[in-house]
Amino acid sequence: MKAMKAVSWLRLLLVALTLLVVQDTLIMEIHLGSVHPDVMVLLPIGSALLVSSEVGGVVGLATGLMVDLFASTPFGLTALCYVLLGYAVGYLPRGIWLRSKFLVVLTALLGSFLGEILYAVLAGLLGESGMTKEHLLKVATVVGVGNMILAVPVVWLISWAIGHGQEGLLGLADQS
Amino acid sequence: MGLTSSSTRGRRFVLVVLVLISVTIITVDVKGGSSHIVSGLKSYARDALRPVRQGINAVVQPIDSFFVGAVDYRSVVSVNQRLRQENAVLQRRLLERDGAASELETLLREEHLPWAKSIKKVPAEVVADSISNFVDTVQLDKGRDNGVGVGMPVVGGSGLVGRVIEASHTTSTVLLISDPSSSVGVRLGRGGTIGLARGQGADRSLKVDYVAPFTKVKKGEIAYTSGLQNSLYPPGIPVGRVVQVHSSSNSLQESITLQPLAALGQLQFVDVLEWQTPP
Repeated sequence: MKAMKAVSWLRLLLVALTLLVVQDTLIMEIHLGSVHPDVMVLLPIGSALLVSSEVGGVVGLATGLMVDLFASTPFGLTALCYVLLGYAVGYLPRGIWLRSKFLVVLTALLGSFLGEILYAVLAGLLGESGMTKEHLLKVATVVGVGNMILAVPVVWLISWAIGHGQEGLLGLADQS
Repeated sequence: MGLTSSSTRGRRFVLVVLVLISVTIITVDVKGGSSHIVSGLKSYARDALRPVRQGINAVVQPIDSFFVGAVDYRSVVSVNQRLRQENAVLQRRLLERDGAASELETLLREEHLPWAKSIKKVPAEVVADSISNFVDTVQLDKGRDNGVGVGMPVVGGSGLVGRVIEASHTTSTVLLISDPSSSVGVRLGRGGTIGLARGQGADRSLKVDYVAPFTKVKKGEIAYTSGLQNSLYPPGIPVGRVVQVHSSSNSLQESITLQPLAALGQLQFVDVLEWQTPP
């Protein structure tokens, strides 16, 4: 696998900061029964889908820490969740984005759903979550469906950040 | 800068390193070793984002209100009518209760207990919900620069809202009483029965624990903060209305649920009480 260029990382950082602002302002206004979509979780999912497990994990760590700065949960908890999620999604067949947008949307739905469950489990291990199973299911479903709708524009942004247009997305990801 | 791992072993190594970094950060934070570093970072990040959020909200909110008003005009009119009627009823009740309130104030003064009305308040606006779906918090537009500190109680128009758990220079985060990690010491009914009201999540009622079986508690009674020694809240703040009471001979306690008096899902303006837990 070719190394990602520094400029790609910088563009990814810019995308992450933009999405953080979007999450904290616009997305927070869209809620169903006090639950809102979580666009930030799409960053490790999208990066892993487009590049690799390792990049998914690193992006997960960085974006998770960014989210943790604004959350009142233990610092690093979101980062751990995103690392594991990004890394796991990276094991899906490479090039899925180019083959079918439907598969990307489906991955966003399932990845986000499972990501929320994983977060609750990790929070539970730290004694942080007193959430009922019904509420957890509601959170995971709303986040999954919301992110399914947001998946295409977000993955498009990530593909721009990693230089899909210039070098070919798979050229960055494939082992050569 | 780049990731160049190509083998499975390399990929696993990256995973192990990333997990170790995350777990180390969590451990250090939970153990409190870096509490001021983390809170400082959070404080800077929130202060930095505040003007961006204000700018975006200034543009988005009028558009949002316009569409909500246009799409749901009938509902807006009926809500307006209902609020006018409720306002008239509340004004009457307020006049009726003025006398009772002054009596209570006198009694509390005689008992050397602080009265929430006499505590200095910082008015604040709710500017955002929690970024996480797993914590029931709101963010206020006032922070340490305005006198808001960690631990201060927050009240809404009609009752207790929660307490400040984080404060930056210009913003603060309030843990709502509906959060599962929140608990409030309460006094119920005329007998002054003591209990502990626990949150059960957003949009859900509060559950009252530690009330002995067959204690006389009626539906509709108001629960107030108890203000017992080392309590997180001063006494006498209305918390919620009893909506369910269930006694069972097999149970070690009454099953009581409270509906919070403050509309926690629709908060806009609140007051932060400049009150700290006595040492």
